[in-house]
Amino acid sequence: MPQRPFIRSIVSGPTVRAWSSTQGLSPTAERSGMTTTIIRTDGIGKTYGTASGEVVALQGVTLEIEKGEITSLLGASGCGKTTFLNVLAGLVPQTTGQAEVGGKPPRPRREVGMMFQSSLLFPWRTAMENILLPAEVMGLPAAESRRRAEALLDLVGLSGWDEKYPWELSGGMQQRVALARVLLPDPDVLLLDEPFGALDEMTRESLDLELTRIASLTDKTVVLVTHSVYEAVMISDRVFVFTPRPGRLAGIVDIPFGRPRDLRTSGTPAFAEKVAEIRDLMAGTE
Amino acid sequence: MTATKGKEQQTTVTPATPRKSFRRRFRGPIGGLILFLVLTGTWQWLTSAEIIHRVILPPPDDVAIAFFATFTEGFFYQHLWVTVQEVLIGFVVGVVLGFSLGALLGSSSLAREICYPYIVAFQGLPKIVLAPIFITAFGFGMMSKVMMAVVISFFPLLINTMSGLMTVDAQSVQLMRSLTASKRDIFWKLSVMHALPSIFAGVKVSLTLALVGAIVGEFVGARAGLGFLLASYSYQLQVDRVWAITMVLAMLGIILFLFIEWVDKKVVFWAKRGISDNVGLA
Repeated sequence: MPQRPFIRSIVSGPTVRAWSSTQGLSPTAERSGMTTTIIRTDGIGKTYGTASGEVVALQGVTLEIEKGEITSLLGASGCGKTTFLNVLAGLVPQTTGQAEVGGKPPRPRREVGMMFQSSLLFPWRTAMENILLPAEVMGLPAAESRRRAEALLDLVGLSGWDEKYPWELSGGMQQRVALARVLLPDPDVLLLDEPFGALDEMTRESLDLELTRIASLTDKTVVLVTHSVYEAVMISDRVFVFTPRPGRLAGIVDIPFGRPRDLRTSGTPAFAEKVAEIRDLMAGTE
Repeated sequence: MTATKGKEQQTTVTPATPRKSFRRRFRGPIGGLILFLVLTGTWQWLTSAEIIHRVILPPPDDVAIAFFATFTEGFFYQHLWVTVQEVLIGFVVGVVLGFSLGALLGSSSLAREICYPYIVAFQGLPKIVLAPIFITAFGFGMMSKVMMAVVISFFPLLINTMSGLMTVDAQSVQLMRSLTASKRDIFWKLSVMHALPSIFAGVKVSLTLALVGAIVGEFVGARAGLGFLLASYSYQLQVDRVWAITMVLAMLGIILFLFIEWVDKKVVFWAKRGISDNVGLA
């Protein structure tokens, strides 16, 4: 267990900045040139053995992600981006190459949180009990966790819904609860595997903006897997474009729009240019 | 933010429970009562017209009198108590055994591969044939009946626990792993909870079967119990008493079943709802 206070302070709203677990490294500081690499991979490859022979899912992926950055892994289905995310999470061992998350080889730990395409809320637990699941599993102090969970529920816009069961919530609300759950242990890195991919477009857009707002406030490093060019450009500081079968890194695209963004950002010519640039990059990989 | 929340709230649909009309609401119970009267009437007619002999099927009023007379006799309660004990002990042991073995087989593919042929063989075996063996091995007392109840009742629970544990989705396990959960946490906080609806379905079957096991054991060789009492009345051709005891056994089965059903609803309250959960996201 790291020797840091579980919670800096419990506040909600715009001052949630105080939750940040980073020591003096704000996004602003990063933009002025002070950066720390939090994720570093070198030639990551993954080969699966199947009944019909070996399948190369991922080949030679080398990249670096800075602390506080919001990045996307973009590519068609089956390009190995989810596999790459699972390697970073320590859920799947890589076949070749080296990876480091927060200076250590990947393995499930409190500093790294993962969100999946489905909310994976347990139907036998209320929203509050679902959010508190990480605290139970990790053995975090109960009273503090509870207070933090309440603040998080407020942060994701669901205060007053704590005693509801998952089936009483809409799909978007379920993913908000899942977001609060992943934030409970105050991880530094958020690995998100198409978390809003199955939601309708309007809900997804609002949750994307919500996510970037929360990530900025709490100074999280975000790695989002998506197959939507629009979503990638909308939320990311940088987009990593993957080629399909085997998954390789085709290119890295900087998105210099700054934060916060809103829906108007997507209407600008610069946005359209970035989308076109990425589409060209993806077209060249097929 | 507030705007989004408002939108979300609107899209949440509370399941509507339409008020049923009086006719719709009571048509089941009323129909049931009519069916009961028709069946009893036919029964009365068959016996009074001597189409079926009284020794085989006594008239309903005789059975009713015998039924109430049974409850006035002290020895009846001794027999009832013996059977209830056999059923409950056999059921509890069967449930513990069935859950433990099911948990082992559900979590270890090695254990499954080793035990699978035995499970198939045991499933095919009519377990009633074990009764004479158990009487010889454990005597005429309660022990042999408890053993029968255990052997018959543990099996459905074993199968249901095993299959319930095996249907846990891989994504949820990944989630637990990403939260640094230990195997023990994954088992108790995810797998068992996920399997609970299936486990309870098994428990319901097990309870009914425990009653069957105990009664079969008493038929084959006993000095007490409702099965023993029923067999004795049968030898003495007190057929109205046989029918009365049969009704008592039916009532016992219903009471036990309703109890488990009540516990089931309390514990596995999410089961029906849980299935529809995440449908919109899958």
